[in-house]
Amino acid sequence: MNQKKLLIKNLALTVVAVAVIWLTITPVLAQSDPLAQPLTLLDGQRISAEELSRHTQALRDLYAKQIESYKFAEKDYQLAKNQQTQLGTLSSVERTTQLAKVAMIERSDVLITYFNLLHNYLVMAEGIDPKDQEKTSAEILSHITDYQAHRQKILFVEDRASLNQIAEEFDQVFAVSTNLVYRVLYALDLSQMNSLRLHAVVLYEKLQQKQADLPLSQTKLAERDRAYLDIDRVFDQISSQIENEQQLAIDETKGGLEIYKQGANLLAQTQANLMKALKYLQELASVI
Amino acid sequence: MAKNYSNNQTQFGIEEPILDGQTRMPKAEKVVVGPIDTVQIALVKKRQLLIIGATGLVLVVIGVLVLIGMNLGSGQVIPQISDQSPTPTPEVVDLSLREQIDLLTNQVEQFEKPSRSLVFPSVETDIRINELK
Repeated sequence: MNQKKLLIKNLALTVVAVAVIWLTITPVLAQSDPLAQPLTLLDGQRISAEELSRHTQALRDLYAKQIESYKFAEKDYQLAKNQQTQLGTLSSVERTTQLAKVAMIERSDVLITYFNLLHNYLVMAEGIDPKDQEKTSAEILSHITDYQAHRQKILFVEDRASLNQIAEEFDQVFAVSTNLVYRVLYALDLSQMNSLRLHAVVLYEKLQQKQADLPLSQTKLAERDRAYLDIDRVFDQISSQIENEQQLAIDETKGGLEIYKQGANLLAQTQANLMKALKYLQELASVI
Repeated sequence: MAKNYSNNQTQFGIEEPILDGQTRMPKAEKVVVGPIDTVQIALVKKRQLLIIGATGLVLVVIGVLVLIGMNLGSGQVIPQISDQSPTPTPEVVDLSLREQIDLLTNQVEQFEKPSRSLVFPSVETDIRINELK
């Protein structure tokens, strides 16, 4: 009887101990690592489309929260900086330093989550050369690591001079990041357009197969062949455009933003031509 | 060596009722002392130790799991490109060819660049603290 009581008592103590530890650790973890939520992929892990999609959505939600929080932190820092200029007291410098630190940490969080999102989009993109995809993926991950290291440094810095030193380092990383981001964005847009083109080509081939066995009069046959020629010409033009756009994507002489802007114009032309080709296909599918 | 007890006191220190001037012996089971008690205490202690050990083990396992969790969430995302197509393709199997062309035409017409939903965040790049003048 005593043994049973003792056992129950010990079990109850265990449950209480576990509950206390759990309740203590959980909030601490949540505060100590705000990046815990988005970054859940493992080395070498392969991920299904659904999982990746869910992960991307979670990142999007987190990003929205982080950017909102960062804007407040940046505003607080700006106010403190203005106050420091007016007052010029030691305490105002101290306050600005602390608020700058918070803003810098939150800025890092925003950028880390953004690069994670960008990475997910790159992984999901179709039509990018696998080698380019892996190379770019490694670059993005390298930037994430840089921003994480940057964030860690800020955490352990208290004085103004060290914080300014870290700010200098940030400038260099950020400049390279911007270049990379616009290159990736253009690559994503291009791959999307190329996917649509390839889809259109597949449908065109299906249409040709379907119409091959149709008993058509000589007039209809001639009409159909003329339509095929027109469509072929447009598709050739689109292929050539896509090739140029792909060359632009790997042009090392241009900056990321320049590539993105120039590419946007080219993609608009490709879109127009693709529309033209699809209108032809619509007509062909309905007339014959 | 046998101990001497007073007439009305047992070895447990409990006064027993005296009947006709005689000391009544305590019941047999109460008389049992020494080795068996030690065994019982040892057993209880052993169980306690086992329970404490098991509790410790549970806590260690929880700790390890928490550490693994922290590690997983510590920030490193490694490239993993699935063998299967990661972008779900629209289900067009049941559509006629004409409908598929119409659908694609619509998609191209409303083509939205992925970059539109990935606008690079506008962050303050000049966060610095001026010196005190």
